[in-house]
Amino acid sequence: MNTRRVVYAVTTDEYWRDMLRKIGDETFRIETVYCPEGYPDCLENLPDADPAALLLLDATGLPDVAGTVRRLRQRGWRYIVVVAADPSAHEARAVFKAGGHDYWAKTSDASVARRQVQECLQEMGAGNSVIRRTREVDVL
Amino acid sequence: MSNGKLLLADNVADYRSSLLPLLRQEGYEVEEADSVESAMKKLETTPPVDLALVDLRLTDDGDDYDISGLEVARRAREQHIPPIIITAFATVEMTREALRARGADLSLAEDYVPKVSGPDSVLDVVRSCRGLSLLHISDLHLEQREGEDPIDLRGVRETLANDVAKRPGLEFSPLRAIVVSGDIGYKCRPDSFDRAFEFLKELADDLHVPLDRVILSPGNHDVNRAKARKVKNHLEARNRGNHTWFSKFDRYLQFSQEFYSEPAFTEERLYRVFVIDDRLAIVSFNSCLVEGDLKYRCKARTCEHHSHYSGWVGRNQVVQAAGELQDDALRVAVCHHHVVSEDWASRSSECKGDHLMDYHHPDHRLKFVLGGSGFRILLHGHAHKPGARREAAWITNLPLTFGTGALWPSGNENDESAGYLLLQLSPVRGQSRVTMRKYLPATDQREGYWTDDDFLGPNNPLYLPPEIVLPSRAAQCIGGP
Repeated sequence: MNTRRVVYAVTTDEYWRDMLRKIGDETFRIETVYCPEGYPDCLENLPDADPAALLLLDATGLPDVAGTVRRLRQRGWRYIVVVAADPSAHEARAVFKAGGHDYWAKTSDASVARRQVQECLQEMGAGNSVIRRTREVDVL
Repeated sequence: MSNGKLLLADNVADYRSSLLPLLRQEGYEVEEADSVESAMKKLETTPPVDLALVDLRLTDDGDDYDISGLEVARRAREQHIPPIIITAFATVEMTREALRARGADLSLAEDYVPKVSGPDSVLDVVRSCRGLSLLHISDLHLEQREGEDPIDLRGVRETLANDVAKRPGLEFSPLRAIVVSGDIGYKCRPDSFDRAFEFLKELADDLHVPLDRVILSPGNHDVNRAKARKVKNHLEARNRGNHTWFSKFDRYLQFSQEFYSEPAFTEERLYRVFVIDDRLAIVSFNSCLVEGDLKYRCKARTCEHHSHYSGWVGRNQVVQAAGELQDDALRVAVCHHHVVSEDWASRSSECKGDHLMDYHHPDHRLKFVLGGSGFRILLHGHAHKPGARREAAWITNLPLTFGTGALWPSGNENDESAGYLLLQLSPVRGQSRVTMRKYLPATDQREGYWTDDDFLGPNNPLYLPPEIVLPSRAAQCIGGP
């Protein structure tokens, strides 16, 4: 059974996309969503939200980063990491307040990116492999 | 009157003295601290502070890598006090450290405010953390029954209002509504409604809640049974457009008019929506109806059995009400009867009683319909004792349900208790909570008094899951580098 986790990456940066495609390992694979024409339509075309999946959102060229995170959260994405080429404390705060899971500086180093994703998936816990419980109701 | 108590921890006296008058002007009581040690001590005060404003560099030793404020933030979080980090040295790494949630845990700080953005930004953040509270009472049964001592309405009201007003956190999350989930009277006699009006009006006055924020939901004892019995099959009558079935609510609707200047509900709109503070939508549903498709109901139940006075909340009410609500307000549902699960219902004689509210079919089961319509909490009465249920983790988005004891127990069962429930809702993740209180009647040795209900054991107040939050109406982004 294939137990590799899925990581989605949304970007307008083809170099970063190409680098990300190579970082998958036996524990996760990257699905890239390339947006050469810009973000709005591209985000609309994202697959249905997978609340257990990690979504990397490239901040480059994205006009309203925090607003986008908020909308994606409303659509059901739970683990959204914003990746910024020009990170700032101000933008980081806005991303976290909007419900972002993390905020990373963008890297072109594949080994750094792989480690970041691995650590993040580990922190997220069991994710896709949540064991369903049989009891419907717990008394608090 | 205070708007709440804050801790301001900063080793720079000038910064404290610049912020202090502004906070006090807004009505906050402020505890000051100038070191990690004094801040830790102030976190232990009783009643606890509602919010901690903590400088990131709290140690006065010129260390550029000092992050001792995070220690204070960590301690504050452990004590359910939301910490706000303020700093003159905002960096991406420190912002991550303060605001990043690790796994399922809460972030270390609730917010991270650069000092350079000015004191108004701090005030905005403090304002954005204020919540609101609801008092939930049920099953008043304010009807003088033969052979019983006269009801001491004034005594009950005064002791209740005094106890509610003393609950910690009410200044920072003021009481905005009183939920009364049915059974005003016992046999739906007009005198019980008169008593209830007098009681609720004075209770609302005591607690500074306007009368139109008394959220009423009808119970089975509020239905005029004589009129209900005249209709053989209520569902059939409704479907045929025969309005006689609705006359069973005549006395209750007249009573509700005193609160809202109009009947609480109509034949076409069987529920009532209350929008509070623009952040909270409460819908009072009518669970004394026969509605929906009977084929999804428990097989042991018959339509005739429900014709008189009881019933359930059908899908139509919920979906219709949800369509009227704004998207992002926290949604709370109120109804009289409690919801029981399918497993429990099929095992229990309850299946034949008048309490069952849930359908077998998932598309029609009340909790699923409520959850799918965005309701996060359901408050109910009827059981005459406290209740608290949540769905197991694998079912997402179903409402937490809470029941409260009868305010005036009938004494029919040994485990009945007089109680109330206080729901304190916060825009801060992990801060919303439920407190359950019960009344211990007077004995020869002592007077009656209110105390924590042991139903929740040591978890009283019970902190609700982090996703139960009010939306924050303050500016989401503030200035700064």
